[in-house]
Amino acid sequence: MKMYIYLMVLGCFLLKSCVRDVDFDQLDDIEINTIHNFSLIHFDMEPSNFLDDFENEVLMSSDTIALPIFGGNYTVNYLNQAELKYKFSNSFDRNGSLEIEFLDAYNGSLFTLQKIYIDANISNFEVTQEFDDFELQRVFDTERMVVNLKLSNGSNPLDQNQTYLFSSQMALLLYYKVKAGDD
Amino acid sequence: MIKIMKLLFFLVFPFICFSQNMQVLYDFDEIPQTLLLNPGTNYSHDYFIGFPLLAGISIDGGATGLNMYDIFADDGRSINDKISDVIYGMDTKDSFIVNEKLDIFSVGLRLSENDFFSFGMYEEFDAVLYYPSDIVQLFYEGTTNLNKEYSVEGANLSAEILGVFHAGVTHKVNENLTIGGRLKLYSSLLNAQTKNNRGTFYTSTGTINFYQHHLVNFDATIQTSGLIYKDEDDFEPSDFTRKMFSFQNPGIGFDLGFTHQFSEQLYVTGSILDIGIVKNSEDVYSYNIRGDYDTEGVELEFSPDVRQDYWRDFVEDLWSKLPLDTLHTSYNSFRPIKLNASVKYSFGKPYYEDCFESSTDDPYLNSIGFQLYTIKRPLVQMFDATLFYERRFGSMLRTKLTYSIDSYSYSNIGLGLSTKFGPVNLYVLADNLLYLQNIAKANNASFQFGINFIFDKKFP
Repeated sequence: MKMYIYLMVLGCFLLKSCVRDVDFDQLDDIEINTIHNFSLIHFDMEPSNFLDDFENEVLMSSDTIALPIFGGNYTVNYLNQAELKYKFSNSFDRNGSLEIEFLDAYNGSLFTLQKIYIDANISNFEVTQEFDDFELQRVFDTERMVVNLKLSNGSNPLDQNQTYLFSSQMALLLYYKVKAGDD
Repeated sequence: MIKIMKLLFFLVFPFICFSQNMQVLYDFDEIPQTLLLNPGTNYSHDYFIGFPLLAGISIDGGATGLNMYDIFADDGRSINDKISDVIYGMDTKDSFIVNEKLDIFSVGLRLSENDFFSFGMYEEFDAVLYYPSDIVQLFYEGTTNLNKEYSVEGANLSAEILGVFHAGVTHKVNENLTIGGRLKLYSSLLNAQTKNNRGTFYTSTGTINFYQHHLVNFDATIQTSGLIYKDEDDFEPSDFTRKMFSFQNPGIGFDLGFTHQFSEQLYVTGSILDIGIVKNSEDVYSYNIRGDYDTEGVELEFSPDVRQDYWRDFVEDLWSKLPLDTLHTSYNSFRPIKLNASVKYSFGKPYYEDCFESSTDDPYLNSIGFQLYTIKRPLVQMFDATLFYERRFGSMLRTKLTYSIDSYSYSNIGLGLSTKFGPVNLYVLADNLLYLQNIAKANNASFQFGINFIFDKKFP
């Protein structure tokens, strides 16, 4: 008899197993926000960069860099916001402007960010451009980025011996929001 | 990310309810599987045959520093705050451990009055993942904490699936001493292990750009062999059995054990298990990355004549300074060695002694004792100390109650039931019973189950 009581108590104890005081619905409330900052590109432009072989001014300069970094699943699923952060120093006595265009794998234009104007004789001028919703939706197809730089016309002609310098720094800030409801 | 979280939730959390140690099974005399924990067990029956695939099923595992309650407690706090607490509260010594064993077949027979021979085969999966604290924090924080160094040293992993073919002999040297040994042949199906990971990543303020990113003194290796597929669709279930019986990645090991009886009521036992090595030589893919790298981004040249492929140049520069080597050379992996020891004192003879038909040599109804267990893991040695009480109810039912202090908790209560109806032995063992009231708060538990057929000399 004692044995059966022992077993009954034991059975009750075992069968009472449960999970209490927890709420698994909280899984839906998980939200992790992270920011990943990367130095992307930088450049220094001297007067010689705006002159051709015959010393003629070529004030529009352009370069392209492949940028296959937006197509990963993690970025596609969780990228919530993106920004480009710039710092310019321009010792030329001319204003300048910079424009960034994003291209897809077929060199088709996805979008162009708003042109940034840089005053003459300015140092450590910082600008941050936030991608709008349209741009954010299209950035995932980015394969290349085109940097268009332009100096305005000036009264004094450019000369190779001048010590002017137009320098730029650019960092990419990616804001990720990981939520439980996302795929 | 959420897939990873769900995967962690569904894979890791269930096993958080399982522990490492088979403290309930150890020296539980009637159950043949005790011979796998101590080949020097003074096994009292004459023959046994394990029910194929059901003779021994065990799932063990655990997590230190984390349980479900830590994250999912219904306490009014934001789950995101609790996740943050867990991320910063755990360290690289915290681990997730899973061990699973499936007895495919097992047989034992008494060769003589003093010798018992047993053999069989089981499949074992064993994995330990140490919490890569800095890597998780880097993911969680992003690169906004300038100059904070994130080390990869905490990234340690060891995982293996093996088929184990074994044969052992238990020999009674004299009335007081029984010794035993078991030879094991391993056939590794899968092995993965990290080795000597070191190196740091950090981001500092740049000189020619906003940020400078640094990979310093990087040296990380992961060795894999066996059933590692680049595409999970390539896996066929038949690969599992084919690999198990192929011995393409063979190994050898042994167990040793003893039982020393000081008196009719007092004895000590000890065993050392899985002193073994596996040579991984087939389907080996090992990866090593080593070097240093600093970058502040790509410098554009705006050259109108030559179009630069900046990205290609960047990647080539990265891999030249931080080369990733893929190696196919064989390597050795070592089994986690385990040590068991126990002291047992029996007392309380049955009142109606003449009517008691004990099927074992030990006529006492009660036993108390103390067990120690330790296992060598890649980073830390894990320990477990157990007090136990055994009680027999006639010849049909034996029970064992345990209280253990281990790497996971100070309040691990376990219970084992072993029945024998005729030749049929059925056993169920589990621990962490206190947490059955609320499994969410458990860091660990274990469960074993099995069916055997046990015969004594009446068997032809």
